[in-house]
Amino acid sequence: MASTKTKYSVCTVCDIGCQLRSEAVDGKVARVIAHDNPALARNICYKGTAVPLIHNHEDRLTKPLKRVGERGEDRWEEISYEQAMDEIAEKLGSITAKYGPESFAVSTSGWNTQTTHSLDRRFMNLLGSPNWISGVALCAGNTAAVNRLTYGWFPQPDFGSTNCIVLFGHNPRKHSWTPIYNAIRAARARGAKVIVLDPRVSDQAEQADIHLRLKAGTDAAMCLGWLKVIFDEGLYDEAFVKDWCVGFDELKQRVDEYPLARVAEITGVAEDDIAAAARMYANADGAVIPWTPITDQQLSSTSAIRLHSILRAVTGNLDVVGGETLGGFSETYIPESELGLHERLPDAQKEKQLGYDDHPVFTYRVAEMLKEPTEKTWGFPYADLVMGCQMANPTNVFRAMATEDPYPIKAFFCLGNNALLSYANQHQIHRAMLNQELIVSHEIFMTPTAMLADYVLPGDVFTERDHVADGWSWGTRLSLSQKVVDAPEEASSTFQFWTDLAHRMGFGDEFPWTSLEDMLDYRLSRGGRTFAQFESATFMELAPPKFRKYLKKGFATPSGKVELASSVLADLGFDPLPYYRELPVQPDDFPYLVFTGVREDPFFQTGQRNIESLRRRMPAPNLFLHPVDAQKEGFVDGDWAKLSTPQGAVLAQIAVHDTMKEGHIRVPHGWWYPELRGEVDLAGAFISSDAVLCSDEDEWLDHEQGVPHFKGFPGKLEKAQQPAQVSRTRPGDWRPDTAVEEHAAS
Amino acid sequence: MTRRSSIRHKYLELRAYVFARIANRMFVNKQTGKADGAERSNNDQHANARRKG
Repeated sequence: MASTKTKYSVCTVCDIGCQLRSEAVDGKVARVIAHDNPALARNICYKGTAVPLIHNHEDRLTKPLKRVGERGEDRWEEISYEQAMDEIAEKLGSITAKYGPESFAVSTSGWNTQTTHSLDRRFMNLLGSPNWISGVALCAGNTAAVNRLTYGWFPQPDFGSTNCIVLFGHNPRKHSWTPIYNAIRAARARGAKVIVLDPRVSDQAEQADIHLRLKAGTDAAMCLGWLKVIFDEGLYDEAFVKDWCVGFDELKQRVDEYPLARVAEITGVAEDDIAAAARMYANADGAVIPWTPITDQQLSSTSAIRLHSILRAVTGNLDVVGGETLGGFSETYIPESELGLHERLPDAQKEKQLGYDDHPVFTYRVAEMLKEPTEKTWGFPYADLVMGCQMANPTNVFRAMATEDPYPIKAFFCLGNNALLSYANQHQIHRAMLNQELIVSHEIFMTPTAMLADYVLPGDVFTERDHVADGWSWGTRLSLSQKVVDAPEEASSTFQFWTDLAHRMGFGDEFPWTSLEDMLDYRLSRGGRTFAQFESATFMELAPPKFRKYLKKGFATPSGKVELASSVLADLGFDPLPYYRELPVQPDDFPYLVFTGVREDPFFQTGQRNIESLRRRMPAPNLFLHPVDAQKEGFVDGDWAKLSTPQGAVLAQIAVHDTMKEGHIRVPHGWWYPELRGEVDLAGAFISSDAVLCSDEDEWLDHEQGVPHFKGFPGKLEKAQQPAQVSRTRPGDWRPDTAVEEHAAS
Repeated sequence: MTRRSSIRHKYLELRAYVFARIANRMFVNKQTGKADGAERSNNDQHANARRKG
């Protein structure tokens, strides 16, 4: 008789962390099903139900691999985990002895791997390297760091009580950001208003109370226009501004530089519509501007994110019910901020962090400036919110890897991160990786990045390990994820990887945890519990919310108040007030505005193109184009096109949509072709990847953070032939997975 | 007194606080037993290897 086990899981197929249940039959994951708590049962998407296909996939890496051919040639020999770790430790030791500890860089997505518990930062800090990067530098992590400039923490929207939701380009859907989609749906059902700012008529825009079709990349100007209306009409919370904000007069002067006529010209939205949206937001009894990846990735990103913060504050929506609350560290779970041992990295090494001098906002430079107020307000000096508050700058790291300027980076580890396709200027990343003496990849599938490695170690997946998720150290909720099956014999968690490496390199005393359960026991000890006690009691724990905490300890900024004019930015030599920066002049021969980094429902970032049931839903990358533009260029739906920017070119299929804004092209993120492995170099990583298109030249970087502009850079279209190797471009080319689809339908 | 600190908001804040306290009592794990914990601790092959030296 078959043995069936069902456990609670926190899904890591994407980064949203839906709580659901995993069912194993005879030691294999058989189904992933909805949670049995009605409040969580809707939080499941078709990527989640495809988990058995992903976790049991025949191409899953199960043995450590060592490169035998040239770098990138994709030829390997299988070796044992112990041999791999011995050799990696020996080589890393040699490289850091020769070039210095800062010659070691790591790129990771802590969420994909889930079990790192900041041991990567701990290891690097003990070794002496500040050069840790992550995709969160472009998405949420950088938002967290910028939010801290204004009020010292990264707030969470109170969807449960809010009366107005503002979505800046963000488009949560049933199968992408599913819990946020459900939260918006519930809020709307009880009467909350929704304002969407998006060049496209997105799914959320179709149902919005107000939809402003602004020009891509002009969010900062739009927010300045809203503030102009709010200040001119006295719609701000005067008492809060007087008691708890500094820099109001300077801000008001800056806002006066943006009369609505100017904002309308920049954004392409009518003055009356801008004013109506600003009034709806400011007059709502509780309003939220949830995090959005769109504002994270623009030329004026720091200003735009700060403007969201400022809007929250001046309208009295900060740390109040129905607004956006400042959570603070968990009182019952030791935060990653403590586990990372940031205080152990010497100041001299922190100053070597790449990005520290020119784009410092999410580096150690600002983290050190906010150390004292953070400790005073929240009880610990370093805050790893969404992992993003003391990172190196990815662009600077890849430049250093490629050019050895200002110093060489010679060892590069990628864990749960397909780095080659995940940042701007893919060609430079490729050159950077070719200039390494040691690359280690820790992955569940072979990726183009892993193909460039010296060692590839098989990782585990969420059904194979225990975890207590704390929402990227951002939320105040603890969620249980339980092991339901064993990992492949030679697979390791990232916890195990860093622990074993530390023991081999002389840091064993600082890595005393013998297993993941041991680590979870340690982290839960703050609440006086073990993991076994936690999991036998609950699947989720909410920290009861506390509002207006600033009344007791102020805000974690140098002034202790909300800094409408940022003293940190002023001390760094930047403009302390938000502004809109014009895009570089668009060349005549690049007439379109291209926006990249768009997430498609079937995939998360660069993943899942090898999962047939998901790939059938989106067999090839689609460039969305307005019918008028399509006609002008002579395209019909399904044609192949070459999209060029001054930086590079990709090939993709045209999809004509009347929901697009004229003159704009939407490009999906992270495309490569796992099925071309062995036929095309790096499995077609350079055919359709949007990272090829994005520039990391200074004129395309946000000044303060150094994030590249992904939302509206110049592009042009030409007709192209379908690439000869790319043949499976229709749904019928991909096998359906009937078991999963039947289950999903049920 | 800010715009968001009226008596109605105090009521909403209290309601959110009480909701979390009550919800935490209802989030009971029905999928696990202690036997699973014992089974799990023997499956960490790399930790076992390292402990053995």
